[in-house]
Amino acid sequence: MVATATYITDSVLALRAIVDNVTDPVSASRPSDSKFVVTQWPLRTTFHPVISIRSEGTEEIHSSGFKSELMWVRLSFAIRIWARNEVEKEKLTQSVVNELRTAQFDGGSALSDDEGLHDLKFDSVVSVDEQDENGVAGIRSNIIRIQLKFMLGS
Amino acid sequence: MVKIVGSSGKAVEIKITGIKETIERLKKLGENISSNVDKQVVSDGARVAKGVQSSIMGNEDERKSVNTGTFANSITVEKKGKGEVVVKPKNISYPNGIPVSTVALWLEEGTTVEPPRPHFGNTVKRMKPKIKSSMELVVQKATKSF
Repeated sequence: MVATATYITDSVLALRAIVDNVTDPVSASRPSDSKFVVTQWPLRTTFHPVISIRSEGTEEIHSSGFKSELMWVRLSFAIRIWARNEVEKEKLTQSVVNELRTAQFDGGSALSDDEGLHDLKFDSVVSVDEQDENGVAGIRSNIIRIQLKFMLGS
Repeated sequence: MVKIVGSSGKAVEIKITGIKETIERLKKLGENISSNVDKQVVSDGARVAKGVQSSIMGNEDERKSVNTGTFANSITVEKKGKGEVVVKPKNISYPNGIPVSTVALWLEEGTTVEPPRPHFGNTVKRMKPKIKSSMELVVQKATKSF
C-alpha cells in the first residue's frame, strides 16, 4: 500500500513492480548489472531496451472539506520505453499499456485495490526517435504519460 | 399565458413576459464571453511564447538551450480556431537539415545522451495559474455587464 508519508517513491515503486511483468525481449543476454525497468534517467551505459519510470509531479484536485486533512491529489508519471527499433518500441509500449490496464483491480499488487492508486488515465503517448547529424537512426522511444489519483492522509 | 380556475370559480390569469428578451440577452452574453475569451487566448498564447523563449534563453531557474539563437527565435504562436492557439517552433531547419521542431522535441523529452530540458512543459506549469485567473476575470467582466 502506498503510504502518505512516502507516496512519491512508493507510487513509482508500485508502478515499477507492475511494469516489471513485461517480458524483457533480451533477458537471456542482458548483463547482470543491467536492469530492464529503472526509475532513473538511463544516462549511464545502458543495455537496450530499457523502460524508465519517472514521477512528473503532484497536483491537488480538492481537499475533503472543513478541518479535514484528507486530500485528493493527482499524480503524473512518465513511463518511457527506450527501444532498438520501431517494432520493439511499439510492442513494448503495447505490453506496458496492457499490464497497467489489467493491473488496476485484480489481486496481488493491483493499483487501485492494493496500492490505493485510483482512476488510471492514459494521457498521451509521445514518440521521440533519435538520429545523428547524418540522419542515421538511433534509439527509438515512446513516452506513455499516465495519471493516477491518491488520497493523502488515508 | 396560462388560465387557471381560482377557488372563487373565476379564472386566474398568469402572464409571463420578457422570455424572448431574456433568451436574446443570454445569447448576447454567450457571444460576448466567447469573443472576449478568444481575444484572451491569443494574448495568453503570446505570453506563453515569451515565457518559452525566456526559458530557452536561460532567464528561468533551469538549463538554457542557446547556441545560435535559432531555437529561441523560432518560437511562434499560431491561431488554430476559436479559442485555440498553438505555441511551437517555426517550420525551419538547422544548416545540417534537422528540423528545429525535432530538436525541440529532443530537448523537451531528453535523449539517451541528454536529459530533458522541458522549456515548454515548465513554462506551462509556471503560467497555468495566471492563465486560469485571467480567463476567470474575462468571464466575470462579461457577466457583470449583463
